[in-house]
Amino acid sequence: MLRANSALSSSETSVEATAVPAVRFDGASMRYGQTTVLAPLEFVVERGTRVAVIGPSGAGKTTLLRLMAGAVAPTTGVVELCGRDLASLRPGRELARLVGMIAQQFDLVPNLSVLHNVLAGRLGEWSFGRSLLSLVWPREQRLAFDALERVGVTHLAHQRAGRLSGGEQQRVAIARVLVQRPTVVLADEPVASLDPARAREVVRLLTDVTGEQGETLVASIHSIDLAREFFDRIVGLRNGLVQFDVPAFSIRDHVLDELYEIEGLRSEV
Amino acid sequence: MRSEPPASVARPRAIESRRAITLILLGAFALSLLGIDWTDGVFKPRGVSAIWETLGAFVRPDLSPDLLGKAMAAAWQTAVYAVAGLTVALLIGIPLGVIASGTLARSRAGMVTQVGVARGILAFFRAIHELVWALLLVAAIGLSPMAAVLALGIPYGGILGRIYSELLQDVPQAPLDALRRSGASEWRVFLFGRLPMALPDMVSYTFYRLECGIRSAAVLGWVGLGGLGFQVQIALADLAYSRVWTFLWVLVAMVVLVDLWSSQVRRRLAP
Repeated sequence: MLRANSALSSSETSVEATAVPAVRFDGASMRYGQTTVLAPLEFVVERGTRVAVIGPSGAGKTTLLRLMAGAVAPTTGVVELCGRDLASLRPGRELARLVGMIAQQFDLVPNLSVLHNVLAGRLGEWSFGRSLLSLVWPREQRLAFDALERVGVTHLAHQRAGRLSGGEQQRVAIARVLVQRPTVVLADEPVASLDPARAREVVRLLTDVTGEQGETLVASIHSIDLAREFFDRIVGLRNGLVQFDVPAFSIRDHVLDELYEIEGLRSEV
Repeated sequence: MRSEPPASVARPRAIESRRAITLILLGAFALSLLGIDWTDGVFKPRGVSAIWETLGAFVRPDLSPDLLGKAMAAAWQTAVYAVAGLTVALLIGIPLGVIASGTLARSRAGMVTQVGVARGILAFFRAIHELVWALLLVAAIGLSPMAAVLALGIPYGGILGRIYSELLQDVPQAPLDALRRSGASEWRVFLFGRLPMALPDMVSYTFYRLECGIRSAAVLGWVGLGGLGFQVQIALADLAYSRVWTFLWVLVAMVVLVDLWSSQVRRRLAP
């Protein structure tokens, strides 16, 4: 009896472990004073999916991502990553293992080499002595070069990051997150400052390499075409409310028109 | 637009009073000219000829090998004082500057205490001029090179620490946030973000301070600590302006050399 019971419960927990979603918003909302930036939200992202968040500026996309990154605490409700309440985690190694972030730009340390910038993704894991040593003799170079190879900029490893083009810098930022190996990768308008051709390359790369490692990707993005082409699921946000949340293949043009045009008219008034 | 009329009413009055002040000051200046004894008061007797002598020596310094040898030895001593003094300054300025930047503090209260104490010490060091430090130290430990090195190092350490702390605070925040998100503690953020971003400016300012250090080390000769300043003082006492200018030109050459060296280093550090 006792045996059977424990076998049952352990199988139950293992089932539960695989079923725990990568991201779960349980009534999480964000308010600054009287302004509601994000209305209470129920929202789940399964592991390994790629979600694009679209919507006009000021819709709450960045707030949504900052909540997932644990950078801000929700006004109400709970945000969980892999079943762990973000409010219970302090910034540091544990949070870095759960979630990594790629920002718009100006995110690398310009005076350091590309190699050092990529290895900075390991700082959460390294001891202080190892970090200090790495400034002079970089440790774990293999790891960094593997990541640089996957994003296609191995030849830039010894350049200063500040001397790279915008597209190259974003590739390096992606390599840094690859070295960090978080379960969830967030990208806040990762291609906003790139021209369309470069933007497409970088988004393709981002979705490919995170897919290879089985990571979950949530990216805010302003290009609907890119969202439709490279993501599994599209979430439309407007005025802090989710307007739609659909598989990428099923999105229809009039839904998008509604999301953007109403806002366009309103800003005319 | 609506706030324009009162401003345009107020403006002529402000201009009027400014003109009145200008006129009063010019009048005061003109009156003061009447009080000058133009025949003997402006230059002391033989003063004008001394000026011509000085200017002549400026273009015709004494270049005899004997004197040049003496100038080189004095320049070497001044350079050694400057470099040793700056080394002491770095030993003071780097740790105190890092603490005074408050970037490594773990808590708010800790930060306030650290910053307050470190800034206080730095202010004390640099509030007293290097010549005053020299006089104090000569009185305490005698006319030894140690006195000269410390007299330079202590106030310069205060200046470097203050500048370092501000440079370390004023780096762009976005890369630092990115490092924190990858799990780095403040110490690691400091090593991989703050320090590399602040370093070019820190190095550039340190070179500027080395230039100032050479100048100050030369002046320390006046309190009897040797070097170029001491030689200049002897030559001035002999009214040998061509010898004075030999030493001063060597001083200028040293500052130019440091400047060239600094621009070399800065080019390599530029992002």
